Amino acid sequence: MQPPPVDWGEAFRIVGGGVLVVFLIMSLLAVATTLMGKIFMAREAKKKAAAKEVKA
Amino acid sequence: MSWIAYHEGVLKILGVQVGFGNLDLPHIIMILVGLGFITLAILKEWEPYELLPIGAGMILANLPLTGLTSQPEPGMQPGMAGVLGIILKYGLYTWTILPQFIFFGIGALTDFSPLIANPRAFLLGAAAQVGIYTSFLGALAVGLIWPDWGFSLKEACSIGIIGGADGPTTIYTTGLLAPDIMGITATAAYSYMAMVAIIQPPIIKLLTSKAERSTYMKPMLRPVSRAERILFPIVAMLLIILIIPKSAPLVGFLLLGNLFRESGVVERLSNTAQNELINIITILLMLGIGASMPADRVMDPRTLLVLFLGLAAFCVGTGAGVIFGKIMSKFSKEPFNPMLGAAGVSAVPMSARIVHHMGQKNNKKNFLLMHAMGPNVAGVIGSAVAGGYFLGLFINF
Repeated sequence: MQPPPVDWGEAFRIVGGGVLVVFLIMSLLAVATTLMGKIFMAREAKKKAAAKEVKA
Repeated sequence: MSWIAYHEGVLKILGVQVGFGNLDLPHIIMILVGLGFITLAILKEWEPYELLPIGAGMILANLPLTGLTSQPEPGMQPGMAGVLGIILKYGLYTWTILPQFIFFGIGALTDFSPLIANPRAFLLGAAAQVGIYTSFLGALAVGLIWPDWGFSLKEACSIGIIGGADGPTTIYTTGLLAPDIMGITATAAYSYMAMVAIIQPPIIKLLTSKAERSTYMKPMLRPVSRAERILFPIVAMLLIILIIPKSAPLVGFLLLGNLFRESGVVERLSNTAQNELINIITILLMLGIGASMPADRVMDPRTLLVLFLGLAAFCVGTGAGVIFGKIMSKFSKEPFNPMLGAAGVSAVPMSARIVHHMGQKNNKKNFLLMHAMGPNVAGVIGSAVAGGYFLGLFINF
């Protein structure tokens, strides 16, 4: 049985949308993870500095 | 009873009730293919946890008159449904719960630290999904050349998703969009995952120079705190599912399993997800995949096209990852080995290992494994997002 004729406009819209969505989500995750890392690393650095001060 | 009548009776039984009498060439071929899978799993150790039960399922499903693949129907007499039919109907076609629980186990097994320590790897995981969309278009183009063998939009989505090199995502997406080709797409995904060591190195070599492959990267990534590892699955789950709700069954379960692992307070549950649960589900899922390939469904010229397009998706995904890696290396302040892009396909951890070995082959000081694990686990998320996107186009839960 032959499938219905392909709507190439729709097919390219699907491809464009798919590539865009994957890159958008992965970019947002990269930004969120970077921010999260910076916050936690700054907190760790503060903790270490405070511990050094107490020792001193 | 005369001697002739006795023989006629025996022949009748042979023809109607005995398996040999009902064994035809397509079934024999499928049984041989199943035996081939079992041989590869045992002798070559190619994805044995997948290929061995898939091969066994194929053989059982293609032995005539067993009734093993009879699916339960309303009004069916008790005991008439076969065990493989029950797995197929409730595990893969109607409820599709098995791939989600595999993802749950994978999440519990996955350490996202290399990705959290190097968030740029998310982009490599995204780039490697390009193969999915290329093969989607390729599958649709088949109809232009051979109209009788053309694929529908839903089938093209299912074929493209093979390029993610992610078994559970392929099974889940195909189970909902094009269940008729699920066995082939799933087998292709797992087979290509098993052949990463054969498929990826020539593509990487083709697209990179020796100098690029030799690029040295410091082996250590920054340490990741427990709080970050706990927050990551929660933040990622909310962000992805709020944008692509249909990815929830895969992404949600993957990250839920990871939260169990990283929380550190439900060790027994995490251990169960990593061991007993994923093992039980693997047995059921892989037997089901094997059973979804009866000869009448597989003995079709389109099967070869699916296998070819799946392979093309995997190759293009690898190539796109490497090319994106090359672009990133131009903008990176620190030395960046573009081969890492090839690990963006979600064949975990095989792709990362290949990149690591190739890195060491070109520069013995290089130790790229942890760097490559980042894009590798990002690829798992990327392919699940791509699968969720396809489902969102056609499925209304």
